[in-house]
Amino acid sequence: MKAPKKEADKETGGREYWRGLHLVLRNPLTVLGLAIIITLTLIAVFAPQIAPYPDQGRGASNLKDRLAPPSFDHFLGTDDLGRDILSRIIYGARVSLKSAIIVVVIVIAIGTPLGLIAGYFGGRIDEVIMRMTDAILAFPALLLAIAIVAALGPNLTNALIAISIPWWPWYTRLTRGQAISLRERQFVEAAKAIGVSDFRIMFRHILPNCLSPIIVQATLDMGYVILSIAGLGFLGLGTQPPTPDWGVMLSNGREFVLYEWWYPTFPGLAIFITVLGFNFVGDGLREASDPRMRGKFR
Amino acid sequence: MSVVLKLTNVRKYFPTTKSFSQRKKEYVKAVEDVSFIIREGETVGLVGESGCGKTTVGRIILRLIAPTAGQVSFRDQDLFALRKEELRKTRKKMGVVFQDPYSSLNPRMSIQEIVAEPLKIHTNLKGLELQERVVELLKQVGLKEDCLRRYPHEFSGGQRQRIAIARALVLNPAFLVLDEPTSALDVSVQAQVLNLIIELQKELNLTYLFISHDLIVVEYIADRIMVMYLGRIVEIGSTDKIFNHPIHPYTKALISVIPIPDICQQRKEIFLEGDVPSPVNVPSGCSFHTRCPEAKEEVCKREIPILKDLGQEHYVACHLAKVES
Repeated sequence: MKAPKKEADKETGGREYWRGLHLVLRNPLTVLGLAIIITLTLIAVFAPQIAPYPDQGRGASNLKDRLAPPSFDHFLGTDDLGRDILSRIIYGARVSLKSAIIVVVIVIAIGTPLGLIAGYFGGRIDEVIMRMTDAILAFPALLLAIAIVAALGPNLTNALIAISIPWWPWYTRLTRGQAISLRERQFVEAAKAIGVSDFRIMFRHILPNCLSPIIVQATLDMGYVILSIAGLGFLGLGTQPPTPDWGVMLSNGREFVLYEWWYPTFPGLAIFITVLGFNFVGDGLREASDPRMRGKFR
Repeated sequence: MSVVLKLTNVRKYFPTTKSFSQRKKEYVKAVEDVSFIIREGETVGLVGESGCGKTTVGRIILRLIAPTAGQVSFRDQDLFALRKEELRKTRKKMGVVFQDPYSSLNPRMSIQEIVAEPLKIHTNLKGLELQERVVELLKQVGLKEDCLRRYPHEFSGGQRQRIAIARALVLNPAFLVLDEPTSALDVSVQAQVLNLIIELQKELNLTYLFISHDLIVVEYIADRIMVMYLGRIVEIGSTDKIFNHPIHPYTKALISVIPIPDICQQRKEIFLEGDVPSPVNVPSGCSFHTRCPEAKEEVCKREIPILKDLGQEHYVACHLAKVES
């Protein structure tokens, strides 16, 4: 009896994570979302191997097959320059995922430390940082992004900057709220009494305890960022042709919706499914991290 | 015996309102004119009911908050005048164990990380040496080596408190603030932890400030006791004096209501009337006069009593004390 218990004790650290994963995977929608994200990632990574017409995916035109309906040659049809839409969507996944990751990393890198500082120190520093976030959040995000791109010039890099600027305050608010409740906890007091520096308290004691809501938010935001990039692309302010982008494809295909329905439909579906996938996973993580929600599935 | 800790006229006021309409700020007078000394090797109990300011005193001593006025000196050094480097050295000599073992350990850190953190901050120990010291400490507080990699939520309250004690002792401090270390534990575990605290004191020659609202626990562990009421110390004396010859009416009332496990014994219990007044509007004169069963004289309402020396290290802040002694 004794031996297996000891064995189990040693592994409890790892078992915790397995229990967490189990909680996440209990919800079928989360599993579906995870499957979508994994598939999408594989597609993006192996785009040159998967795409039936890699050169058309990158932008080479093929004028003899203009606006061909879905067939065995072109599963999802072709666009007005004769390019295979499936290949374009596959290459577009690269742009969308890469941009989403870049934006989310940027907003977390800016927003989270500011939130930690505001919440931990409080007082005047808090006041200054929070009024700054209020000022930014008071602008309509898309309008601000459009203004920024208009000022900097339309290309993907500027579009990513433009999306990040109105976005980081959400992470500042989220982290600040967590930090305020955590700084009153006795383990923080104990660390202070030991003489641990403020910097170490913030990043070693407070940050690890507010990671779960940040991760949930980041997952949900991946989807919204893809949507925003597509939105800017639709308006002609994001990716510039011939680089494949779902938003741009949707925008170009718009005028063909009545007779060549496949042109705008499939890029739209790609955006829809991707955002849905990230939302499912984000919601699943939120449920798993909230103990009150856990009971619902048991 | 040398003096380890000395508080002189320490005050701490917390502002209550932040609204701009109120020009005149109100203050919670959490600690009012507190002075005492703690000598090397002794255990001093600080007792009082919830909200009387005893935890605030502990936090001031640990330099977690600054006093509004007064001086705190640790081994003849003014704690609040220390420079960064001196402060670090002083912090090494002081430890703390908090009341709630569930919130005093970081849930995301393993036991090894928790106990090793003070060593990482204050010493150059690394790798195996560091781990050896941590294991040594865990054994000293009665825990096994195999809990190094485990996390706080896997332990019971008593075990967690042992971990907190190990963390407090890892730097070989001379002085420990114990802020109600046993009040969150059930009685049998309380006794174990108390005995551990007493054993460690003998082994390591420690000095304790033991903050508690539980008089039985304090009687068990303390050499001297200080009684606080509404931010002021009303009586200081040896444990024997406080329990067998209390002078201050408040102390008398506290002692009289300690349950005695003997149904035959007759005694007069003193029940205080009313609630503790708000620390925002402290009564004039002796802050206890509104509830004091003995206060009659005008002087109680008018003048704030100071601690009077009754001899043999017994101090009482009461206008009527002279009459009794």
